Amino acid sequence: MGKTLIHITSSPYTGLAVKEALDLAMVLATFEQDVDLAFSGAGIALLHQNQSPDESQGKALYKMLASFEFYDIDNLYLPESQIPKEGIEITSLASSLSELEWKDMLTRYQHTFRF
Amino acid sequence: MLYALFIHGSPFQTKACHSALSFAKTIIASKEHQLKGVFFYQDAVLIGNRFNQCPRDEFDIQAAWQTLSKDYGIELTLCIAAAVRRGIISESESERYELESASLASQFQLEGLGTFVSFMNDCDKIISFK
Repeated sequence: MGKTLIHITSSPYTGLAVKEALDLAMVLATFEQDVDLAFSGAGIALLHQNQSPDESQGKALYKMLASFEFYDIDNLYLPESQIPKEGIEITSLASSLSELEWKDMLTRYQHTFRF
Repeated sequence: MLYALFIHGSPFQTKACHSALSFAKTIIASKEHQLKGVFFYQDAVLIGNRFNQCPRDEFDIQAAWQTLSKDYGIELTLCIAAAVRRGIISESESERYELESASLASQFQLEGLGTFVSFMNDCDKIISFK
């Protein structure tokens, strides 16, 4: 079976979309499916360092990223052009891709699910 | 070709369930394609609430899916985690959470995301409706 890409374009704090996208990624990985994650647009906010949401703002979903290696989810991608300019650091768990690499990456999967 | 449908969009805020329904009908009507099942995730699970009361002069999307499921034996599965957090509760979940009643509509069933993974493995194509 081919690889699956979960492409996150929603903000982690505007609803449940990102929580439910990460849940899907982890279930797929638990069932030994090959899963990569891509982030763009508002979804990149999940990769910001030093977040401290309170309980009412939702679970600290970014903390889940660090546990992904235990599920063999090793590839987290974002487009280089969308890296925040100043004052915001992106987690070192994610790799940035050039425009060409990003486009190429998007074609590599049998299944792509966008949240 | 064997298909499964993966519906995410709310039946109230989007037309995901409506578009998927017409896609499902097209698969069923075709000779060379088959529909393995339909998996509802995120707000799409709201379609399985038996307390939904569609105004009489509006199209009842829940009833339309139920009819399709009855007529053609199509499995309608709601993600159990997504459903329970939104108050879509089967008889067994109602007992487990010690609630007064269940809210899952007929023809729909609650199952884990593992069911969706087996759709992915068994089908040639998964089509998402957002």
